[in-house]
Amino acid sequence: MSAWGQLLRLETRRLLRSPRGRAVSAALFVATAAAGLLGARLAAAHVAAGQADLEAARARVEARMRGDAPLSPVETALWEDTVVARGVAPLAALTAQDLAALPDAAAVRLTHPPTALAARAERSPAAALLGTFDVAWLLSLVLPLAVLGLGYDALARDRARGNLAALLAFAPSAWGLVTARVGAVTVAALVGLGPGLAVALAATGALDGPLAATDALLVLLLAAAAALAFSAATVAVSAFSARPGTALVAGLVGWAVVALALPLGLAAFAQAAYPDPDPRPELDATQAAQSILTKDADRLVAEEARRRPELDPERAADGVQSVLRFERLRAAAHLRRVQGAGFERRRTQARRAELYRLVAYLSPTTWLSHGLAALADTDPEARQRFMAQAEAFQSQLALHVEAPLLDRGAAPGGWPRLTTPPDADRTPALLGAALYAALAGLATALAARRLDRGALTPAEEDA
Amino acid sequence: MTAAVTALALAFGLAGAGAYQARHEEHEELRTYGDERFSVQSADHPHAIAHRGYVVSRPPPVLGFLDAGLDGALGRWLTLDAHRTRPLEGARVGDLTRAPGAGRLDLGLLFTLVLPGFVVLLVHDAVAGERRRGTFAMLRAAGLQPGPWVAAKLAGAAARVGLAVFLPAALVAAALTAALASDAWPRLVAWLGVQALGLAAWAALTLALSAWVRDPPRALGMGLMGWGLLTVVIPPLASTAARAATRPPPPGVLSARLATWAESAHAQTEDLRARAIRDVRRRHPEWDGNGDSPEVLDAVMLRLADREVAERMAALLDQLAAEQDREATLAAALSFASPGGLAQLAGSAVAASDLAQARLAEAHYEGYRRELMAWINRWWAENGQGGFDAWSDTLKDLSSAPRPTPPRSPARLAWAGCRLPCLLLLVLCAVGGAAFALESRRSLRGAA
Repeated sequence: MSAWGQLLRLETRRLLRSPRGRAVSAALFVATAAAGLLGARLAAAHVAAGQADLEAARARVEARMRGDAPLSPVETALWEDTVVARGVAPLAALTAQDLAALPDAAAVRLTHPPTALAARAERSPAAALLGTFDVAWLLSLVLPLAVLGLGYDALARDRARGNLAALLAFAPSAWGLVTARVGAVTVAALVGLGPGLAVALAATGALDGPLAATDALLVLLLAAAAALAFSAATVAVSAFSARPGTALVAGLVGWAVVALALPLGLAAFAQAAYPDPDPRPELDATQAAQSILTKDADRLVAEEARRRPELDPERAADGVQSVLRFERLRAAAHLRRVQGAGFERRRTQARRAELYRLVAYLSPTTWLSHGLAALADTDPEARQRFMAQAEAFQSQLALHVEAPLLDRGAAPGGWPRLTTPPDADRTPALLGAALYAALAGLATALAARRLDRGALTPAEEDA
Repeated sequence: MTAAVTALALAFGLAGAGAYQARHEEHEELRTYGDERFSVQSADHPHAIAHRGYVVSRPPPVLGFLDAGLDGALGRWLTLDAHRTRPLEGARVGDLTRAPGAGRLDLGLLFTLVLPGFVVLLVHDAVAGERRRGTFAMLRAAGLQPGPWVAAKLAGAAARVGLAVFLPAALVAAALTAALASDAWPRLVAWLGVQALGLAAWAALTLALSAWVRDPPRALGMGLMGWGLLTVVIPPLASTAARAATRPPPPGVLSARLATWAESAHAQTEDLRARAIRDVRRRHPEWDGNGDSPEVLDAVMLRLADREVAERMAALLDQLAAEQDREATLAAALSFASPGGLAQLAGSAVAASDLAQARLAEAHYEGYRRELMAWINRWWAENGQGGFDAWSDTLKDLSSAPRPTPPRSPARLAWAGCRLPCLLLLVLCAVGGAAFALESRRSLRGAA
């Protein structure tokens, strides 16, 4: 075994056998496993809520189409909600906090744009006030603290005791010493984190849908890269500090800035850059559009019929068909106007989410939470994606009910139903892992350079 | 340190005040807008007007500029209409940030999340520093009694924390209150009291740590680590456990139920007609039930059905509220060990940005909705027979009447919300103080 390998083994063994190393590793294991199990339970509740919403709306639709005065498919699609459930990816168990702010389902009618059902944070907002202890929270907020606890004195203690020069004399190089200590801290963190993550990933098996092996590996890779980067940063802070206490305080201040202040500040920035637009024009336009449904709308229906001549009421085979075609076109005219009224709001929300996704890369702790959220389809833009899927379903529903109107016979299959498939994006996780690796390299290089230059400066005790 | 706290307080305070100002302006504009739209509406059929709806804006919390609490997680406005057929309409939660406080930035977050770290920095060496400098041994040799020592240290810690940490932030809070809500001074005092209690609990716990740990750097490290864990682990863990233990009914299921009830309001069943006739005869004993009714029966049926729908809805809302209360109480109880989490819960209750206050406004609007819809149906029932000639003038009178505004948050609600967290904070203060006293006593006696 090379000298560096021996050094790494010695450092790792020393750290893992110390009471601090054991306590931090055990705490990380327990916390990660607990966060995973709790998150899986919360995600399962969201899956159940979405499906319950879907089934309740479906039962109502079926009852309306079979009752004493049954509605036609067109009327049902116009006046009754058909619910689309948001698919929950197994990895959403790791980002359960995001699930609280996302709707589990959306209601679709042909007259209105799809409406998101109330998210958990709206129905029971206590969770919003205190946060949610999920794996993403743990990795982005607690893991840096744990790593700091493991390695804040990695080099500062030797410097304070005056051992550093002697240590460097026996080490292969300053770089070798620093990388061995970074490696030891990372391994000690991963000893607790790895099994904890394995438990958390296994807990996602209780949810619907299999967990892709690639996604599981990406989670482990991202967590390992983050642990490495946090370890390197901690050791770098330790290398630049004269005493362990100074290193600890500097590390904690850095943690408070990077993990707490930056994400909050960046979210405030995104909110300030794209504030919600004045709701009054939308309310006015929506109210004006309401009259299309309640009053004569011959002119508008004629306009719509020019767009879609196949649905022209005048070409209908009988009076019933004519009325239903009229209602369908009237709904289309209403929908067009209401969609236009809400365009500004939707565009603002989409831009805000996009801006937040971009600026969040300024905070290293959010690389992790964003990578996980993108894998779990719970990132800031998940709401927009889900509403777009609901809009696509609305078109599918329209085609379904239009088939009998166009004399194409009843559409095959029953009333359309949809649980949207989760849309995992692996790029942010890969990008996050690469950024963490780069950060680890940079921090290690800085620490090694500091040791080269400052190892022989007198320690406090020497002075 | 005072300069750092002042700078942070100004940054957090101004950010909170800016968000509150925008929210307050939007509320005023929407309130005016809702009243205007109601007053200029065309004199359609009364029930069409009831269905057309009326936009109301939820008022911002009284001390929302200091502590926005749940305000960001709740809708800002909603539409009230007959039978509440559009429960999903209204401004909804858009995005909540993955961070303590769900992304809000205000003095409440500063007090509960950041300032405790400063308290640890200030107090960690209160005893450990004496030990390191050797003055503790001198004091022991001089025969110092534990009582005066403990009292002096507690008073010293209170003075340092009060002057260097609490006072600058409190002055910023007072300045913001003077600028934005000059009638909320009593509430501000209560809110600052809660925050002071939270910081006192942190100070007591740090003093105990300082007495227990021999070395100041170690005391600082453990204190700051404890601060990190107590602010970012215990509160979200408590909240998550509470969330996992409770299951509010899915909104789509409720929505389907509401739609079925709303439909029943228009169902003209024989039973409902018979009840409507009995109702009319009760008020018009001279009518024997035959011939033309003195009131429009359809309108009476609608009013009766609407009342039933509203009663069912009230029961449903009570059930939801009970579920939410269970979750909030569980979260408060489980965050017992975290002064930050407890101060956050108590602070938002005093600032009127907690669940109980949001519910108060909702209950007010629901009451107003029922009253308005019943009034419209009653008018239709009583005057509809002669046509709608008088409706236009009546509607004008109704429209010109001021819309009732939600009651200002009563003190009893604030007290109910902050009682348990404050009690637990007092317990933490007592535990920290007692641990410090016992450890000091042991150390001093040991020397003798």
